[in-house]
Amino acid sequence: MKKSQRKRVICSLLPLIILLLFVYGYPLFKVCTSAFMGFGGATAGQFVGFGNFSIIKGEIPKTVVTTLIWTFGSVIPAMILGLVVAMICNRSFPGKKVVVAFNLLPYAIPLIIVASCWRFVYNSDFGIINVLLKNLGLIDEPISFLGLDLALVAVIVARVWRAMPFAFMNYYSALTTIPAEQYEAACIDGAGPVQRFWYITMPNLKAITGSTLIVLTVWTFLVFDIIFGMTGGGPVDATKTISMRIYQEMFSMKNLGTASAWSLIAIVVLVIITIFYWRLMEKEDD
Amino acid sequence: MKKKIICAILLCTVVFSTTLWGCGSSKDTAADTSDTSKKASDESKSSTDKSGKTKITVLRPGDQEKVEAFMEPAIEQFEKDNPDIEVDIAYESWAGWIQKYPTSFEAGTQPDVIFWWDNKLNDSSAKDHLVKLDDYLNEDFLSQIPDSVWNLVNTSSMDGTYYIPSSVDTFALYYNKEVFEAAGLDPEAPPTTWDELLEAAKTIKEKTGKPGIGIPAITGSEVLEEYIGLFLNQSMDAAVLDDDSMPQFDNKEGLEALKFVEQLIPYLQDSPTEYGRGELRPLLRDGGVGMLIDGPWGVAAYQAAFGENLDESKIGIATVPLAPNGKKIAWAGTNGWIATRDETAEASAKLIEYLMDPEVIIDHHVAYGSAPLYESEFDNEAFQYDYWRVFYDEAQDYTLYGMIGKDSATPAAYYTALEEVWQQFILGQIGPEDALKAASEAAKGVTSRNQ
Repeated sequence: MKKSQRKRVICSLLPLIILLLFVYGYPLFKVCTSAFMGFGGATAGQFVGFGNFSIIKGEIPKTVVTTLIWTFGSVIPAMILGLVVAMICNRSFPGKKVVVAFNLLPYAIPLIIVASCWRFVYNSDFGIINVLLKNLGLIDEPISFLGLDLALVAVIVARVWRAMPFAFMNYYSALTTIPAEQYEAACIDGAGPVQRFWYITMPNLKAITGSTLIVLTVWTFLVFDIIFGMTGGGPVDATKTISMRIYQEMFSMKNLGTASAWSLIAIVVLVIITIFYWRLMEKEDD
Repeated sequence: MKKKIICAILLCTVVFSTTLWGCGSSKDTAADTSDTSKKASDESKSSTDKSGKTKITVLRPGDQEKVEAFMEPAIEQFEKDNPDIEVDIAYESWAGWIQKYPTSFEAGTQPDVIFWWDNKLNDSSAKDHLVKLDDYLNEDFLSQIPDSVWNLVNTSSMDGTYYIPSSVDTFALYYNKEVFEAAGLDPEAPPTTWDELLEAAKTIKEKTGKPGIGIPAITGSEVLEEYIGLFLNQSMDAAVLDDDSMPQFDNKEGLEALKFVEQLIPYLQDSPTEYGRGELRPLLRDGGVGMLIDGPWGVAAYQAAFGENLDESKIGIATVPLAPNGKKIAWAGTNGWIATRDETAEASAKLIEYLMDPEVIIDHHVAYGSAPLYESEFDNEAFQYDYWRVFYDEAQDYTLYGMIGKDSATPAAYYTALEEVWQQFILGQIGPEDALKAASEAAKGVTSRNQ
């Protein structure tokens, strides 16, 4: 690129860069500095080093583990289900359009409404699952889906239901781009359905799998509404993910310092996951 | 690869930081904030318009329909009586206001007169905006409110009257008379002591198979702390936290209270952490549980099912059972009026005085289902029933202890910190001794953050 061309490119990008610096750069800087500043009592406004991290250190291991279980427990099943449904819908059958539309429905519902709906579904007294199981004679006592032991699984199921359509959409559109000739040639060579899936479908879906995995992971990691609406992070700390901790520190403890500390922890974890994904994909490319 | 790593770091950082910063407010921007507040105050100063009228805004959070029902006619009359004051009514749900008030105060855009909480008088967002009302209100007016209520709302850190309690919500015992009959208990003789309460809960469970008593232990709604708090208050004859916001329940009396609650656990509804007060009321209404401890907010739910006269219904309402020490102690939460701007303090105080007038307050209480605060309210048809006397008598005659955190800058933090411990206790994960220690540490942890 010539020097004059480069100059022009930089000039044309400058307004955007300034805007991004204002919109992202300043908040980013403030969050990074806030994590090391005091916001309550005598330390308000002072540099406290790792003081904020020290306040929350007891909660970090459990919260990070809960967040990882929540994230991967939601993303992986959502992607597998999305792929299965996309493959079914990739075939011709009557009512296919209805099935496709039906599968996209959860994606159109706001997260907080998803949370309310699932809370009713799980309710011990009149929730549809308990009522159904009772009427079928499979249980005598209602199952406490939002109780201490099952709450995390319950919110994960709700998240899978909500995230699956995104994976489905991506896979479905990617599947339609795989040339039919590849399958025909494989059939002529005697490849069975499993071989066709493994050697034709999967390699063709690799790129979309990677991008979907990263996007869904980041989204799910950040999701707050479903957990807030269904369990509020409880019972006890059963569903307290990093997002819930940030909310708690911000709005209950009113401490931007500890909330920022949680935010930095989230950033570190997300960066590690993302690098791991990219490494994994590069390895496979090699 | 390096580029990708940088991209990953940037992407994740940007997403989190913008989200968090968007929510934030900060102490280190206090100077900026106070500037903004001043500007906003200046704007509100200019609310004295060309015609010389003082403009003020009033907010009573809650269901708009109910607020409109009493607020609009009241304000219309107030403006007629005070032609130099113009009042705008702001509407906001409780949930929305809880989220919004910190930013509203920090931006200086808060209404001039607000229906507030008694435990948020030292709240870090609001404290500096509260206006001392003593100079504007006449003493006769203040003396109409019972001493028990003033004792409840007074905070050691405040040197005057900044808050006028308007609704006093005490806990009472609600019980289902049909469940009592089915269990062989006398429906006209509800339990009056802890021992009787335990015995009734046990009998109901054994005779009917239904939970004897319900407990609201849902996460994030402050209800469990208040429930356990009642028993602690009754046993200790003291507030949960002292004037320095330090716990004062880690003692023999506190342990006695938790041991009693532990005895109730076998007779509670299943999966208590799934239930708030709102979820428990239909259970009591339909006979799915024998007893509940609830405030006057529960009345509307039963009136909707059985009509206004609950005295003739299957729902009984009685004073809270007393601890073995026999002292008349109840939990109560209050809401009341605050003024938030010096510039409009006089007009705000006039409005508060007007809204506290017995003839006006009654419409507020009727519209919102609050218990009467003044004896004269019983003249109103809506309060002719005996069950309202239960709440009123408690507010008048009992020693009241209320919402925690009133001396702290972060009152909600105590609820959050204690809730986890009380949930563990109710779910049987820890015993009363450990719960007491853990709760004490949790409360100290919150206090130490603010020191």
